[in-house]
Parts: sequence; C-alpha cells; structure tokens
Amino acid sequence: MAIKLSDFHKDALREMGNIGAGNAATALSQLLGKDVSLSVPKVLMVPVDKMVDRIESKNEIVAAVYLKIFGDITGRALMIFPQNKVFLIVDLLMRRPLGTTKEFGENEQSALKEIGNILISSYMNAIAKLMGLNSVPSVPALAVDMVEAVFQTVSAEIAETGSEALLIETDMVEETAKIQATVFLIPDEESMRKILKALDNTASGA
Amino acid sequence: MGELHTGQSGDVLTAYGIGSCIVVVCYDSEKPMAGMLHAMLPEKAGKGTDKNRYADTGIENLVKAMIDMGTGIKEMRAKIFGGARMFEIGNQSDSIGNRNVKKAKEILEKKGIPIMGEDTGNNYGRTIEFFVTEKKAKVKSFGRDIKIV
Repeated sequence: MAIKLSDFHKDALREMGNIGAGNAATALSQLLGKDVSLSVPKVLMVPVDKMVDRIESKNEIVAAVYLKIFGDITGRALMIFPQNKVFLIVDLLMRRPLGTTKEFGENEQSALKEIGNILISSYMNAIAKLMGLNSVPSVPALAVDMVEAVFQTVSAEIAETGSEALLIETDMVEETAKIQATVFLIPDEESMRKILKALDNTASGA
Repeated sequence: MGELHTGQSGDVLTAYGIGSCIVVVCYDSEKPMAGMLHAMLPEKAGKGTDKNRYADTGIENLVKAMIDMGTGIKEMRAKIFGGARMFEIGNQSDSIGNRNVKKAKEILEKKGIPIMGEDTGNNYGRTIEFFVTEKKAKVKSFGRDIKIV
C-alpha cells in the first residue's frame, strides 16, 4: 500500500533528517577535526526500482557503507562516498597527510565502516531524542563497487517487503578536501507509519 | 531491473552494474539469437506485478520470447551471471543473490535448458555484455580481470 506524504509530513521528515544528519555531521566533524557542512535534506518516496536514478553518475565506482537499523524504527542506512574522494576521508580520519592513502587495506576498510557506524548511530540518537523512537544500527558492511550494483542490491532487499522506499537524503561536505558523502536513511514501510504517527503527535502537542 | 531484451546476429545484449540481481542469457545453440533477462528477486514478493522482476516468472517470459523468435526449447542453452552478496550482513545462504542463483538454476533445470556457463556469487558487481553471434559474454568487474564466459 502506497503511503501518501502530506506537505506537513514532508516538512517534518525533512526536519527530522536535518536534526539527525546535523548530529551526524557534528560527530563526523569531531572525528576528522574539520568543519563539515550539510545540505538541506531531501525527502522523497521512490519506487524501489527507481532508487538508482538518485545517483547522477552512472558506471562510477563508489565506496558504500550499509547498515541495517533495528529497534523502534527498522530500516536501512546507506552512505555513498565517491571513489576519488574516499581515500582523502581515510587520510583525514587516520591523521595522514592528504594523498597518502592509495588503496583499501584492512585498516582503511575498518576506518570507513567506523565512520558509517558513528554517523548512523548519531543520526539515530538524534531521532530518538526528538521522537522517543529508539533504534540501533547493525555492524556496518562495506562495498567498493559500481554504484548501480550497490543500489540494485539495496533496492532488491526493500522490494522483498515493499514497493516504495522513503529516502531521506543528505549531502555532507568536509570543507578542506571537499569530500562529499551522501547519506540515505530508508525506514521500512511499517516504521514509516510509526514515524509519521510520532510526528503527528509531536505536532498536536501530545 | 525487470528487463528482458532479445537480439540477433551482431547484437550485443548488455546489463550494467549487476549486484545481487540475476542475469539469465538464453541463446540458440545454432542460430544467432539470444535473450537476456535481468531479474531482481527469485520469486514474487509483496505486491510486485512486473513478471520480469522475478527469476521464476521472468525465465518463463524469456523462454516465450525465444520461441517467438523461432527457437525450439531443445535448442536453447543458458548462461547465468550476478547474484553477488555485495554486503556482508546476515548469512550467506539467505542472501538475495544466493537465492536468485538457486532459483534461476532450478527453473532452467525444470525446463531442461542446459547451463553452459556462469559467473555468479562472490561479493562484487558485474557488467555483462553478451555477444549474440559469438554466444559468449564478456564480464567486467571493478579491479578484476575481464572474464569471457
């Protein structure tokens, strides 16, 4: 069953994304010791097969960190780093001079997964504080691969239970090296209803 | 996803960036004609209506399309690609990729279509180009050698 999002819901979800991603960006900024800026989150419902269209660049290699979310809100979180910038983020994280990292060893992979873990945990913490819905992320998984392969795989998982995905999409940019990461929060259909209900309650002051 | 196309002499059938999805190529053992299915899930789940999205109903359509082109079921051969487990979350046998490969093999076996080659499983994406005249596929993956299947 398709969920219709009212303008009020869209605004509220955007605000939720803003607070969640804001918290995540603060964590990232502390982790890297650099300023991190944030785009206004986009909130959209897309048919699962169209998720891949969210990515402008086709045939590109990206680093993707993927986590499942458990608890009051269940769903998925996906973070996409463009490949040409992903080594720089590892440099910053590991306090190496920019340009040092040249390949994805064990340490580099762990570092990226750890970033994913911290970002999504702080994202979910902010949502918990805002709406009283508590959830935790799974152990993160990493893929460095074609962007289509990454998105299709996530789409397929969502398609097993629903036909549409709610995407809360935020771009984060680290200021010195201009590293961009796109964070997608994708709640399950049932969780979407819970979130919308919690938002309605917040609005009516309950 | 959920795509089915066919080609004849000189054509190249392509599927880009295949992760857990399954690509089934069916071709005539003699004549230069082939079809390519790109399915997302092993079987219908939820409310999906597009048959080519699922390996089971998609392969039915693929076989029909081949017959429409003038191939007999006895002349059909298959090659399968994809079904990777891109993210190491959950266990291997439950992964969609793994289930896609199993389902495709099961359906092809039921139809008596021999599988002449495959590049499936593992944890990386694939781009598949099937050359109809040569009856061979070129499989490209990031950071790996090109495979001819």
